[in-house]
Amino acid sequence: MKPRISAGQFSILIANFIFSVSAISLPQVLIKSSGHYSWVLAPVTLPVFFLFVFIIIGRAKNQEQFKNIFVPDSDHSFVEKIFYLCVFLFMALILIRDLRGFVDFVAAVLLPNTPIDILVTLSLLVILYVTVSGLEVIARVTVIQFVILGVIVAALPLLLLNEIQIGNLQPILGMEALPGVFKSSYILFSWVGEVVFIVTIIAHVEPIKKIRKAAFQGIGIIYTLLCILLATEIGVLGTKILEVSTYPSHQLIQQINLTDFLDRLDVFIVVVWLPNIFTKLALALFCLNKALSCLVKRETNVYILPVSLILGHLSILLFKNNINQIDFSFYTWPTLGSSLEIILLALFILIKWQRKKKLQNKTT
Amino acid sequence: MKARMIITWIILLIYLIIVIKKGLVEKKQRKWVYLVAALTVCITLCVVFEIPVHIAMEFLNNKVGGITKRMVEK
Repeated sequence: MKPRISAGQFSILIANFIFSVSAISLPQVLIKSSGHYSWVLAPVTLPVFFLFVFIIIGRAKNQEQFKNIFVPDSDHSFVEKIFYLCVFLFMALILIRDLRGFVDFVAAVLLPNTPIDILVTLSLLVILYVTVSGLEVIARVTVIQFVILGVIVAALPLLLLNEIQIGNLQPILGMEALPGVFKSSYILFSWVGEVVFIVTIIAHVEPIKKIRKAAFQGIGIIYTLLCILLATEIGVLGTKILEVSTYPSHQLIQQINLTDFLDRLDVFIVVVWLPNIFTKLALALFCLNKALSCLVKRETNVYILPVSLILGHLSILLFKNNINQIDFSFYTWPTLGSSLEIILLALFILIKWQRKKKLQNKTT
Repeated sequence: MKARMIITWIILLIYLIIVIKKGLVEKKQRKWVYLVAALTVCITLCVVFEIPVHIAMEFLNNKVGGITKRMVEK
């Protein structure tokens, strides 16, 4: 039976897919490019992503056709095969980047004496277990964990009220902000543009008519949380510290100083954060498996184990060290990722157009 | 030899035994199973012989990352 997720779960999956990993170190490069105006990025680029999602999903009356996309058992045209191959490559790159980023983060913050090989192997086992359980399980786990993370991020300005220096956020707006904001938007585009992954799970949303609203809600959640996080980081730490900090969000939560006996609240928050990253990676692996199933024309989980082993090894082999991974995430991914996202979008529109034409030919 | 390769080979062996013995895949689809298993072994061999795979990523970081750096940096 085909797994079903609700529109609410769909929007949380989108929000978690983009926010959970980008919150680790992305603020650093955004602040490096646009300084203390970074928090303005969210309202400035929001309309672009609403348009992006609108292009993917289209008008409400055409949404029924999504039920037949990403169905492994049917015959696929040449364009569809290219599309599945691109989705596979896109998801593989996301998995390699995020798995290594996540493992480096854990090694730096929680387990400095554990070799990254072991961390990758253990993480892969967890991700595999969640992925094989199916989309419904991924969605349920994500909702539970993301709500907690969302509440924590939303409460950050309150928890850090005694540390915020308004002077760090001033001047609030000015024309000199524009060049920096445009530069940061370029970096942010590839990260938020990962929302294109929704093409793989659209068919599972019930009722399908609500997907556009749900996707908009997901994007809205990401931007609200990102705006709060960036503004709080700038207010508390200031741009000079943030520009050189590898894990600015972790450094931010270390500043929480409510009482004397709760001085390691950061560990608790990181532990809440980790399951979100696991579910994001599990969803990426699910989408990758779906693309692979379409390529071999059979709905199956048989190939998921060796493929995840390959990706796990690649995440260690491809990056010589932590700096290499950060360089890839900050500078290579914006160009590579956005190119792939635009290619995927173009192919998806082409497939939709082909199917519409086929349907018209059948009726006439 | 690194521990992660031994773990990988053991997992892969168990996987192949289960998949083939239990008949989880049809005969037609077996070629894909062998292909991904062979790919996994190839990747582990890169670790054994210390093949510098990261050169590919460094190349990508220099070329593609260079484009972003030119656009973004002051």
